[in-house]
Amino acid sequence: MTQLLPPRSAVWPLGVVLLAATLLPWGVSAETTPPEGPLVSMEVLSRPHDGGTRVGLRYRITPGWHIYWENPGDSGMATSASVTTSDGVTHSALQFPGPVAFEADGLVGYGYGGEGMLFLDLPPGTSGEVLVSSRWLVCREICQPESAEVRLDVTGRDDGAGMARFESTLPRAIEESDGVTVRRRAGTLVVTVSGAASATLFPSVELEAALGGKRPSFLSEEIVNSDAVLALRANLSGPSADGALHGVLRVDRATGPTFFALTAPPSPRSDP
Amino acid sequence: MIRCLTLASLVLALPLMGCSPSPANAEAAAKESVAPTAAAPGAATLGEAAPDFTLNDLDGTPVSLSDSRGKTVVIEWFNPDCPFVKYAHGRKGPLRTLAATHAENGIVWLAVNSGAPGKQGAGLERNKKAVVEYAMDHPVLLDESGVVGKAYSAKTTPHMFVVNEAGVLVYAGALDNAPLGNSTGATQNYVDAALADLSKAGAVSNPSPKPYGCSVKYGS
Repeated sequence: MTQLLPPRSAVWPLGVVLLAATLLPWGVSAETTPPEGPLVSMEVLSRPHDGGTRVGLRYRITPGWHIYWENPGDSGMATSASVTTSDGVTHSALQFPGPVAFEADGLVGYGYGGEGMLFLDLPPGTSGEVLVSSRWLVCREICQPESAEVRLDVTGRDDGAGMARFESTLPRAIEESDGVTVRRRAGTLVVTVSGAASATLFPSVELEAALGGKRPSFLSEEIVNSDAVLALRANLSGPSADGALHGVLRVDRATGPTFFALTAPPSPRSDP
Repeated sequence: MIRCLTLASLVLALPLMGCSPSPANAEAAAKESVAPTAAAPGAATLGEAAPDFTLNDLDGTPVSLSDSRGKTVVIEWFNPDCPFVKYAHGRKGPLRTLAATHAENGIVWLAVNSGAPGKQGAGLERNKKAVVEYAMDHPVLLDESGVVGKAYSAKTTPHMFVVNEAGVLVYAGALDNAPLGNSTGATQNYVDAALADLSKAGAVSNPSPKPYGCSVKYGS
């Protein structure tokens, strides 16, 4: 059983759910005033996870509008959320699935359109009612800040079936068999992907700064053992460039997209 | 398509950028045209000379960055209908009194609206009302062509820039760490901190925190 609760401000009509696309149009015509009422509704689900509880915050977004990833891109605001458990402890370490990109007038944003789910893991022993709070900015050509609070009893609850397809888009660690390498060579980030039709880097705020705000693309580079190799090479500079840098890598193969957690190791000169 | 149009508009803008009017002829240029003049010699870069520009204020008077040579100048990208600007200039917002407070120390504060005609928050009448609504004492300059905004790579409202007394761009980033008043820790006003660093004749310690807010409503 799932619990569907509207934002605290008002009830809105649930719209048609759209599957996320990799590039959504942003800014279809001059728009100066947002429509009446909330543009996003939030539903909360939960399931057992690693001995604790995983909470999923599901956002249903009015078609054509979007909310933001942890790095919103050129503009916008990261979606935030917290869960306060019955013992009064607040948890706020959100996990973001791989985003999509929005582009207009040379400005790029990262986020979710149509529908999206963020996750927050609670420790073993969590039971009873929790308070889930979230704030987001929803934009098309113009923006509207919204928020919601939902109370949910997580005891014995298992909404795994409704969470699975979103969890499958959480970035996972790169394994040797994935055909992905991430290296740092003399101030250059080098990422290679073999056997993929395309690959896209979504940088964290720190990695974006280290890239000097540039958005490097993957280029077809060579053929190794009959596999085409896509490669991204980008200079790292700036104050945050020497530390470990993070991002999300989307790889599109015939089997569909996979999101990887990308970590560029610290520069050797920053080692203690 | 959008990219092509953007590139085309930039190409069209290049002659304007290359023909930056000097302060001496800026007034004459403004009188020749009802539209605000906008010119910038090149892209703004932290640590380098801030590109000069001339834009009309809401009374039609041309204002140039170089008019304030020898003074510290804060440039605030502005859209009166963006929720972040509404909050920041609202009764409890961080921009309600910040400009006036620093004006007492001789700091010049300029708001620039790069919204294209018809876009949210754009236009002379809307901005005249906003100045009253937000009790703003500092000028709002209209940059409807977006030439100045693009020269400064202004992406959001508010996106804040600080030019020091030597005319060097020393800050380009967020207003603070509290979008809409919400911060995860103690609230820090980055612009206030940058101006404090400059007042101690020091370098700005945090010169480019990532800006947040609405996208600047450029024309295509």
